[in-house]
Amino acid sequence: MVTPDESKMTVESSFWLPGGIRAGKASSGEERTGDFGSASAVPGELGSAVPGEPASAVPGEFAAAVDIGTTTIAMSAVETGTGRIVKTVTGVNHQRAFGADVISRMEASNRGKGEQLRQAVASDLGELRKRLGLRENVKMLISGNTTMEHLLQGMPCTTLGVAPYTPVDLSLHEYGNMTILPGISTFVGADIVSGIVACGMDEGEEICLLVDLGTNGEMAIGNRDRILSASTAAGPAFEGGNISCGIAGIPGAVCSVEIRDRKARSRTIGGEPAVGICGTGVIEVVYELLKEGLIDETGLLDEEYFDSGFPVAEGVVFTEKDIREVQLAKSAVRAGIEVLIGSYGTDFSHIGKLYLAGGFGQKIDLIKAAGIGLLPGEVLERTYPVGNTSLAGAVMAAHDPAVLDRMVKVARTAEETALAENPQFSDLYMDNMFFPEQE
Amino acid sequence: MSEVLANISAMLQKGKRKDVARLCQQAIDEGLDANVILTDGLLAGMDVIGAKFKANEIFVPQVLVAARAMKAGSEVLKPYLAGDDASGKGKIVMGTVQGDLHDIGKNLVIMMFEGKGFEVIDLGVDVPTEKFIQTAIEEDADIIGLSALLTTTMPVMAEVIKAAEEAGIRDRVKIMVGGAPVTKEFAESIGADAYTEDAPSAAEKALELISA
Ligand code: B12
Repeated sequence: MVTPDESKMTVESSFWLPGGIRAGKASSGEERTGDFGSASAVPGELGSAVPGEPASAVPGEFAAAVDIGTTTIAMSAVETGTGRIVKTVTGVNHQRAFGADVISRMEASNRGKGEQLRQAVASDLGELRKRLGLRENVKMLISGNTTMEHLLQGMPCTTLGVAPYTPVDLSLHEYGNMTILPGISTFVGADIVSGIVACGMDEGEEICLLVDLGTNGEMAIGNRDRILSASTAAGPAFEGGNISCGIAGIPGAVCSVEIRDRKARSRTIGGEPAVGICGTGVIEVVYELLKEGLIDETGLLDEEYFDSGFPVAEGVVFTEKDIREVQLAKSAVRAGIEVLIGSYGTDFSHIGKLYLAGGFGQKIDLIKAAGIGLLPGEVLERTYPVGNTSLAGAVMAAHDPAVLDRMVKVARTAEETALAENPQFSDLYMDNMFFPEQE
Repeated sequence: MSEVLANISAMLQKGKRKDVARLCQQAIDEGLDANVILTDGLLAGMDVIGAKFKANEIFVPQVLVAARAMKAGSEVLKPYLAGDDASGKGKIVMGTVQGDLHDIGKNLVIMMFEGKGFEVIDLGVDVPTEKFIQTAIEEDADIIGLSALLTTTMPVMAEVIKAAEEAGIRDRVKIMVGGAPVTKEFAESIGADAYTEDAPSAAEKALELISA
């Protein structure tokens, strides 16, 4: 197996950090101030938005760049002239009182709670704006998944949740000070368009992949000539959902595991006593069990632990059923990636970079994620965790209006491949449920 | 039990399609009765697969390859099976409800139904409500099986049950529901006859419903 070039990765991912939400801390409303580099979220040589400081910089002009996530909202105060992020804050999306995932939000809206949902997120935006010390009518560039954007704009969600999943309107909208960034489809929203642009995929010649390891597993492949997207519906296993001792990345969550001689050595977030296992821990425990031969390639757990689960930490076990959940989720992502690459008419050897979007992608151990078959080992050394690219794109747009044109173009021209109708997806989904053989 | 039958069952469990087909032909050539080969070879093998899947010892792809091997064997046996015996225990109309395209769970359930000797008419995915009813009437089905994987398509199951009532077939047809988000409570609330958590139990439940 190839080892990623560590030095390169740390340099590039720290360059990325604009508003990178860190799993776990995000919900408590983490604040970061200071020099998070420029609005250009693009690693290294692809950088485009802010090479040096433009002469036209108007000091003191600010805009708010926003990513409305289903769980967490992130907002950056951006100095528009320079694209500099002055400060980034994150907070809980209070719509969560109406349900954890997008489907339950749609359902709540369908039950007549649309206005309450809209008010919840609008007040969250106001809160974050105040924490940034921005004035009331500051310009806001808002990215987010399609459901979040619909709810914010007070659009009905009745058609989002049932086939053929048609959105009401995904084009770029301007309401006074608010700009809502455009999306591609119900399941590939503005957050992905923003990410595509933030990574410069729409301008480069190199074919790159963008993968968001969230519940809906959105992904896109392409370059300036053509972009193809998909969503794989992996489910919440990598957020600790459907895992018997699973929890979000809160203090006390097992986040890293090492197994030797059938004994686990675990680390928890904040070093607190273990209260459960979060997404990164889930990936690590499965990898370690495989490596130690305690799970075979079909996902069968060693006899000794089959009935009661493998003890990961005091009071935390990992069961056979948990392994099955991981198989369903990781295979959805991997099969999605493979179908996307195949439908694009290319193969791994022609993929320049794989960008992992989202806070989770920044936290996982890439080698272990490839070891369980979630990520393709073929491009491991070209895999870059890039954090919150949805926010990064909004930040770029705050600085440079031309970025909006790029987003509109991506939203209009990007294609989407429907995995449900793809017989190849089903075959690959079955194949990838097995685990790769360990060396 | 004859060695060839035991081999058929063993090869089926390993998902060895070609071996299963070859052994079924061999068993026929040895003069064994096709119904015996089916029951004590193929279906016996599927029983083991079902039990292991239910216990979480094997997973979806392994059930799938075993089911493919069973199909290969059944193809060989088909011409030798006495006509009406082929439809076996009863007829089930099965599909994923309208608006939903998930079919892996539904397919597993079908495999287990077939593994218990039911004849299954697979309507596929995104099946309009009327289609379930119409097919159940035309085929004189004993059971309608409904699968839904989305919380947004679960309510469609209630519509199918209502449509069955309106069509006047509700007393003749049992309705089973399932899929990850479906619960026993939900099934009861919409007046379904049965719900099970997994595919092997679905097949057992179907046998119960038929003999009741
Ligand atoms: C694979 C998958 C897909 C594949 C489907 C491929 C296919 N051909 O089926 C693809 C990628 C196409 C897909 C698409 C979508 N999916 Co999807 N998908 C999944 C996934 C990862 C696994 C589902 C699965 O196959 N499970 C394995 C089978 C074996 O389990 P099962 O179906 O529950 O069946 C068992 C039992 O329930 C029972 N059973 C099943 N049916 C029946 C019927 C009867 C009568 C009985 C008795 C028993 C029974 O027996 C089975 C075996 O024991 C889940 C998430 C997860 N990790 O579980 C999401 C998930 C189901 N999908 C989801 C969503 C939202 C979607 C999409 C709407 C969105 C998207 N992002 O693309 C689309 C919609 C497509 C459509 N119109 O239906 C959500 C549903 C959330 C909700 N609250 O409703 C889930 C939970 C993921 C998530 N985001 O959380 N998906």
